[in-house]
Amino acid sequence: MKSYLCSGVFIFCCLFLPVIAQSQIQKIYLHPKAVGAGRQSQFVDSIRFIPLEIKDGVEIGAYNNIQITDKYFLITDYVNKILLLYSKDGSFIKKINYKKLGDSFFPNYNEPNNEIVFMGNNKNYSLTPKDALKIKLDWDNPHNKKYFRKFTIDLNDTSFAIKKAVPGENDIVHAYHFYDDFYCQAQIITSSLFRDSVDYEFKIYKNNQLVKGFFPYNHVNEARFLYSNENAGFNETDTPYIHFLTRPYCDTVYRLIRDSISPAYQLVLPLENTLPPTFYAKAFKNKTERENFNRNNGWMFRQVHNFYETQKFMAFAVRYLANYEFYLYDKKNNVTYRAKNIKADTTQYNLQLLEDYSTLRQGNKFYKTQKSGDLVSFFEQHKNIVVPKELEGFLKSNPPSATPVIIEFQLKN
Amino acid sequence: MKHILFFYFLLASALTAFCQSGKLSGSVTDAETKAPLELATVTIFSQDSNIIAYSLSDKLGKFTIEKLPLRKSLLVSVTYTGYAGYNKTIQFDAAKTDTISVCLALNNKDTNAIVVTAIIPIRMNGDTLEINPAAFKLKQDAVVEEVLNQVSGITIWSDGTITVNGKQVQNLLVDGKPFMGSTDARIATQNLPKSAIEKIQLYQEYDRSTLGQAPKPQDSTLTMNIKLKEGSKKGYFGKAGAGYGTTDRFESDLSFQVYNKKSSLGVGGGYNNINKNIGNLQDMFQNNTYRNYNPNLYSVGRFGASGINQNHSFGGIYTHSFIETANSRQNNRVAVNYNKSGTDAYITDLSLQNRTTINNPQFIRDTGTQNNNGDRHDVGINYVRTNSYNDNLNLNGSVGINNDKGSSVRYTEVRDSANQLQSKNSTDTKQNRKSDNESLSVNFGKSNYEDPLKSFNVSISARRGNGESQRDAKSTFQSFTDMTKNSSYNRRYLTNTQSMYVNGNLDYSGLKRLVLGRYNLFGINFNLTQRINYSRQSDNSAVGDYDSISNKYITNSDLSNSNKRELFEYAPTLGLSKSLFKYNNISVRNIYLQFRLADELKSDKNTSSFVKRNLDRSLQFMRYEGSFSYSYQKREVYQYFMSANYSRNLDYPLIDQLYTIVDDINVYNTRIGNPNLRNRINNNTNVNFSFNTQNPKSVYSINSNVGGSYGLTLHPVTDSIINDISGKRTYYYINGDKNKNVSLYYSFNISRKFNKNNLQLMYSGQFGNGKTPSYMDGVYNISETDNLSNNFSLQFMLRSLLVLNVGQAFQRYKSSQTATGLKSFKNNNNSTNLGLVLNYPKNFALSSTVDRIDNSNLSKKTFLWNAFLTYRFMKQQGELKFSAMDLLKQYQNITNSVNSYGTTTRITNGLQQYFLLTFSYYPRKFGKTEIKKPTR
Repeated sequence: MKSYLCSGVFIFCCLFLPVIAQSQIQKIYLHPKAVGAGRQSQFVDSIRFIPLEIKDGVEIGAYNNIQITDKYFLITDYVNKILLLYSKDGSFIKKINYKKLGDSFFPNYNEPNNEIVFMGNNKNYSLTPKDALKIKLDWDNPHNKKYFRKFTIDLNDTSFAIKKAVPGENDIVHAYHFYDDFYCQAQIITSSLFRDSVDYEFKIYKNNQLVKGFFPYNHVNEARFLYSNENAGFNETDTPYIHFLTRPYCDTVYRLIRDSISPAYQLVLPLENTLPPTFYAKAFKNKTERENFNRNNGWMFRQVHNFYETQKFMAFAVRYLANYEFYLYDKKNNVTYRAKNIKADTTQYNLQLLEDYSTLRQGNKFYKTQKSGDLVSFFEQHKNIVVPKELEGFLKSNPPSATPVIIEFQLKN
Repeated sequence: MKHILFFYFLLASALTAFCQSGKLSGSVTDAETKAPLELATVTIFSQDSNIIAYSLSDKLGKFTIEKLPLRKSLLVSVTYTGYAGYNKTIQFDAAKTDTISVCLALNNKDTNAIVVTAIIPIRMNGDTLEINPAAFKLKQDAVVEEVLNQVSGITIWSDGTITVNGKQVQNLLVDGKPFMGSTDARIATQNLPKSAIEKIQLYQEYDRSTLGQAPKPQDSTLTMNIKLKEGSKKGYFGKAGAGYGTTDRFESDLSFQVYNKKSSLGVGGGYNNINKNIGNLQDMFQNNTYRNYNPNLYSVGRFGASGINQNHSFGGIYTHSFIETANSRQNNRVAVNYNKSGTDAYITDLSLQNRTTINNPQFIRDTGTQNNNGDRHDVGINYVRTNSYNDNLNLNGSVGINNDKGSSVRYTEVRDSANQLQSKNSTDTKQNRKSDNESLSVNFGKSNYEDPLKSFNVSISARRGNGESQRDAKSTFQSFTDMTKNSSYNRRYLTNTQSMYVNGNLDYSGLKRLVLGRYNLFGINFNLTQRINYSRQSDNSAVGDYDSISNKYITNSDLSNSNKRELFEYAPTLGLSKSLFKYNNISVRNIYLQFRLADELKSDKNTSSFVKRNLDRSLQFMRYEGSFSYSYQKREVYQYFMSANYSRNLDYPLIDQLYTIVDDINVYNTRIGNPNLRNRINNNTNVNFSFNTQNPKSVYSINSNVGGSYGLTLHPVTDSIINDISGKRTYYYINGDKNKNVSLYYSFNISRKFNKNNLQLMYSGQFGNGKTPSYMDGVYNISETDNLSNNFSLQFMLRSLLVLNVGQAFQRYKSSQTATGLKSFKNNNNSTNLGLVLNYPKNFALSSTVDRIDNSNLSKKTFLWNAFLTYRFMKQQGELKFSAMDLLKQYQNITNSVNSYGTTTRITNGLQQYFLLTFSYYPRKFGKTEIKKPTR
């Protein structure tokens, strides 16, 4: 009898364990139609300018991005297909034109090898999504390498020449460096081409061996992923070996400590933004039906992206079925702000810093580029505002208006 | 001319008056931090809360609003999401610039949930431009078109087309569906009231008509979608009018439409004896819309039409959507229409022709009287089903039944240059015709990015027709130069015709994948088209000549015949195309190249009761064509597009050109075949250039187009004309050496907005030159024709108060002959049109049109002055209209035209001065609430 009683108590406890665990997850309340507006100075501080050396013919276009290596700033001008290399003190190193590689190549910094990688499809071939999947499944077939082109710039080699490279397994199967010598895969695909019906939304590998897989799903016909390509999202935190993981069609943000996972936050949305239960249970008949559902329910939740937190705030993007927004969440007041509604003021030189696109976060610091013309016109119009010391010499040298300046800033702690 | 100059003076004076205006500039900043607020909405209201102008602040928080009225109290409202609004009253007493600095404070009352309450007139939502009609204060019965007139960047041109930032709106949808099954935007924009509209959306849509074909630049189409308010998704509207006037003129029009979320029904019809066109149901809907500030002044009795015609029509269209969807990706709808129309015509005419022949010009006088009675029934069905932009099923079916009966009497005299009678001919014809035709076409297209092998477009169409006619013709020809050629006929033609036509077209764009697999071949696209065509026409003609002795028609074995022509065509076509796309920060450019090669295989079999017409021909031609296009778009500034294409094909003579059945009853037009005719080679080159501005902030909208074509035909089939001494004229088919045609067309349209006023200039022109070889009385001749026309149209719209239209058309025609002894001819025809609508005082509209035609070959100018007075009452749903037509009582139906052989002046009977009083009722209800009395 006693054993029955113990068992009963144990089962009872087990029943409530998830509820208790769930209740510990901190909630993030978001009402997309009623988001807050505010001043940028409430959220951002420690603004620092890194003026870059003025060089004839070196300018940035409207669409650009920044990447940081241990020695260099890499600025990519996507429209003109130009990569600009600057040292960390702002000295100009090199302008690399990668137009000749074609339209589908973009530079990405590969930290483990300290190289810039241009990976894209060989334009001599036209691949359908089904082709790409077949090639991925048969990645070690040497014939399949012809469908890709890979170029690298070795940052240890000061000639910074673009060299042709052989696409590797990680390039073909979309595996990314995770930490130490661990790699991860986050692509979620369903297809009848898969023989094995079980796969995981997020997988950690070491030496080509699966170490751990999280969130199993049916690789062949999982209702919520059918006719759609999805990716789990993972973001580094300020602390080594800790990542945030987000999943498509899941409102929970997970914390990964090395390869241990636990739920961290839960996004709470109004009913009108929440996917109906049938979405998870009943598969779409075809791709068109899925696309029409997305279009007709453009503001229903899809995935959290780029999650980051400080002591005071959380920054994250929410992808809806047909829309995308970037938010800041005030932990203390439980208020969600839409980044577009956060306006810069003169104390921050009218610089709109909180943009999801074209901003790089490294550790607790954010980086973005700004055209010097914007700064020149600001200080001309606001004579009473003191020019930061690091900009004084730069602005006096009368830089061309499209000369880039790097801005470093932090979210308030 | 003086009147025109005076008008231009008035117009210039009005424009000068408009230049006297105020300008407001300023900045919007955060009250606490002085940070500039970008995209704050600055709106200027008049005292009666009408929006006069609006602007969004720029990156530095600055804004400028120009052309503000003087000596009027104006309310400046500045709103910004999350901030407390700012309101201030200003007034400009002189033309000057006023400056305000607006500091907005954060709305701290509820920082947790700040809800947008400001009504933003226009905004971008993703890739969709959204217009909020609620932000435009107009009179309560204002229609959608009046809202669109207020939106900067949108131009409603006087010909009815709508452009948005220079680009033409090609589709108009209401809740994602064509409204009343119509593709004409005006049925929706001129009927739906502003109060029934939630928003107007503008977006680019994929053009499904190119499914299964190689992708081309400019495949997207600009679509306007009018989203109805939830409570207005069912309603009805229309017009029922009847009028009676002097000289027993009458008219009646009906147009009534009822709709709900899924279905709509429209009925229309009319009956009149004023030559007004009412045969087409969609035209009836379009010409009877509710819009009253700018009525169609030419939807009235047509004075230029020949004769006095009684027209009647009645029909309806029912549309039903099987799904309820808010977007245009998904369609599953059917439209069924029926229309009955007919005309009872009485036409008398006199034609005076001056015809050239070698050294012997002819003067031909031709008089005639016709009585015709026609009756048509048309039934149609259209079914459309699409699930996405990647598939398209379209089915069309139609049945038409036509009955005609008529009689005519004609008398022709031909005189020589000494005014001596050469010949005369009289004909008396009675005929009855019955015909019916049925057609069915199906088009299904699918493009599949994931599986290119499944990308195709197939279309099949079939048509059949039956015709039966009886024609009794009595003709007497008398020659005064060669009595032996005199002839007299009393002939009966009984004709039975059956035709069938089947066409299949398969476009397959998966060929590249099929042949090359994953290989891309430098981005060159392949397209394989298979065209199959089968047509059959059977004619049975029983022709008899009346024998007065036996009182019977005796079979004429030279004309009675049975004939069956069967044509089978198969043309596999291979198309290669490449598209290049380049873009940067400020511009986008596209280059497109295409080459097509077709192997045309034809089997043409003619079976006839005449042995010589039994002909079985198999032919094979290679047809090739190439095209090039280039487009350049400077974002939000301008766009131009140029294209050129060349095609070469061969054509062969028809059986009726080789072995013509010669009926000599047509004494002035007897046709003789030529079995030795050769195939002809056609070379065609076309070029086109178009330009339009795309600046959303500009008050100007400009679009222009220049195009041209050059055609060269080798061995064309032409005529050898023999003017017999007896006066008879015979045409022999013959091959010429070459035929050249050059044409150039151009247009330039510019629109300028002055607040709510609009000035438009539309100019178009065309030039053509043709050189056609022929033989005249055995002498080789090249007939060169030049025609030039230039048309100007100026429209000035002063809010909804005044609409003024001035049009001027210049037409020149010249023909010259190379053969000695043949004359050259020319004709200048200038016409001036003035139109005026004055919507004053309240509920009244006074409108008028003046048309003046000056033809160089006519001694007298033609004037037509019409005036209309309209009064709307019964809560704007009743309308009384008084029409005074041809006030000067000077109108005559005289025209003069010129061709290679001479000039022809034609005088017909037609409408004369009349006055008409018409009452119309506009039933209107949108949703639960009826349109209330306006509060203008």
